[in-house]
Amino acid sequence: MKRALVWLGLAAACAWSVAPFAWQVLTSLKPQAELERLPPLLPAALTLAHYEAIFAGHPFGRLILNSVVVAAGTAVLALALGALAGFALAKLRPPGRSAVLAGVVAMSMLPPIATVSPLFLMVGAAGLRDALAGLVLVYTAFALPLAVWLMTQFFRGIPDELYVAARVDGCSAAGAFAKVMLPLAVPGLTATGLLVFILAWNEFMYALTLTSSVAARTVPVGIALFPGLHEVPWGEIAAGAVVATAPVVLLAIAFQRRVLEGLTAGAVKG
Amino acid sequence: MAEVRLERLSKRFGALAVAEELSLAIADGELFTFLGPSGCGKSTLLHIVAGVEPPSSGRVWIGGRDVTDAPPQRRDVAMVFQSYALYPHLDVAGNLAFPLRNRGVTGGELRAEVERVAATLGLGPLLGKRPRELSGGQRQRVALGRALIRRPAAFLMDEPLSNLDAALRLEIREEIKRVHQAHAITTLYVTHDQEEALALSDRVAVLKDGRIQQCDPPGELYARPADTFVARFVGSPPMNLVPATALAGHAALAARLAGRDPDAVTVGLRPQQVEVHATARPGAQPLEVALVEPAGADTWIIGGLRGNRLQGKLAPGERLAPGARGGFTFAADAVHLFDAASGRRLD
Repeated sequence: MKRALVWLGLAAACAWSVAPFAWQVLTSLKPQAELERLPPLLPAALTLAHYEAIFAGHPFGRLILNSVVVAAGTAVLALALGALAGFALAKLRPPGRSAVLAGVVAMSMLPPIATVSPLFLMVGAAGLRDALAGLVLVYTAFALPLAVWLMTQFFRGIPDELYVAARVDGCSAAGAFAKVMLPLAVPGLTATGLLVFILAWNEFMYALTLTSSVAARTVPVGIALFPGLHEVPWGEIAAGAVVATAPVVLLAIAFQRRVLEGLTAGAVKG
Repeated sequence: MAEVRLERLSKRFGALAVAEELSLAIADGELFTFLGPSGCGKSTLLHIVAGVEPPSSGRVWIGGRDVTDAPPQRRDVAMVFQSYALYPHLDVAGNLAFPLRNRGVTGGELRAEVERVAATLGLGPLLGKRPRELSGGQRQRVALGRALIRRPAAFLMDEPLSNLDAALRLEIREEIKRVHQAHAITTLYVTHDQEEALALSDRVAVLKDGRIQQCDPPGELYARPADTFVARFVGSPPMNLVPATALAGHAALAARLAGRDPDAVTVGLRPQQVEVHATARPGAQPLEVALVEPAGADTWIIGGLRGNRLQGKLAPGERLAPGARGGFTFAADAVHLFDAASGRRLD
């Protein structure tokens, strides 16, 4: 009885989470004629017309490429900086590290909308408006608190003795980082990288503000610009959303264990 | 191989004093032990010698060189940890090779060294395994090998036996002593286990609150503890400490007191040297038997003596039960005298 209730609850939670995505998938596959009718919920015939439309009628391939470059670039940059900072904060015990960590948490509370205008001006002044590099820089700045925090927790989970052993065995601090700490932090790097990638992949507001053409426009912005003056192409929007969501979902499924390990690391061992 | 010298070394973490003006010279090839209760900061001393923790003040010398400001990789020391601290992402061969690789040794020379050390510690068949596939004893052997492989100026051993079960502890202890005898590398050894300290060391420094209470060879430490702290800490079971007044009238004690005021004296008696009898003996004092503890060869009697706890050895062939009344005797040369106020040794 109790088990049944648990299963029922779990099923309800799953349905709640999956329903919007399932709706999108259905919509993207429905023929145009059935789109604005309900019932039927399930389409009489499936069509890939909307998918053909987004790649034929829009530069959707270019948008995906932009998104991949920006998200991957952000992940790499945030990981490089976050791993170094996390290692230093966790193992080198610099003075004022608790203040730094408190600052990192405070920064992550900052509402993005508060920084849009100044960033718009700064990115413009740097000549990086409508450029992939501009987005990467801004996203990295926003992802860094998360990356630093997670990597600090991760490096804390690695015993201090291993760092001491590496130093005594002849490594400089940087050598100990590269030869011992980094290889042991691979699960943490994977988890952090993935979270940052998804953060950058899904980001909408900065991308909308800082881009003006397909040169740097990312998928979420591209989809938002699908609607024309007189019509909202629901089928194409849905197809675009599915294409945009699929890689993230696949990544999350592929690395599910790693991400969970990564998020709980350091939770047990203070 | 080198002498290690600490010069007026101090280290404090807030209120906790790990070292207070500590000065010590550890001779080339000596196995020197820091013995102290858990949590007194003995490991920090090793970290200071290794260079991963700076001292609050004072200097560290290794092999006649002032290394106080030198980073760990330029101190030429090797460390063995309680937690083994093997590199989990490297196999045994990789762990052994790690310190040599950092010094630019490669190829055939590296392989030969790894095989040599593996052979001396019986690690040959394990070279391809990862640390997590090894037992605790094997792990500590690998850690010993990793420390040994580059023939460092000094070994730093931080409670290397504490994570091992009793049987393995004896085995690895023997291994450490063997390695030390074979290579005569200066070794700084840290432990809270007095038995380990006595068994292994050339000299032992007993630490309390960052100060050395006594620094002597094991025999001397046991035979002439400098104060009541050392007296209780070294030797098992711990030495009995009772006020001289509780033993008043004992002929052997009166001779040793030699006119000192019994109120100002604490008497120390090793349980091994207190003999408890079931029957009356000349010169024996009465003892209320509280507990009987058989320990194989001996049987320990824990009794009450005018409100003080006194432990002694049951005389061979006799029997006593809790609640009974026995008598105990000791020889005059078994008596240790301490100042009741300061705890310092009096003779």
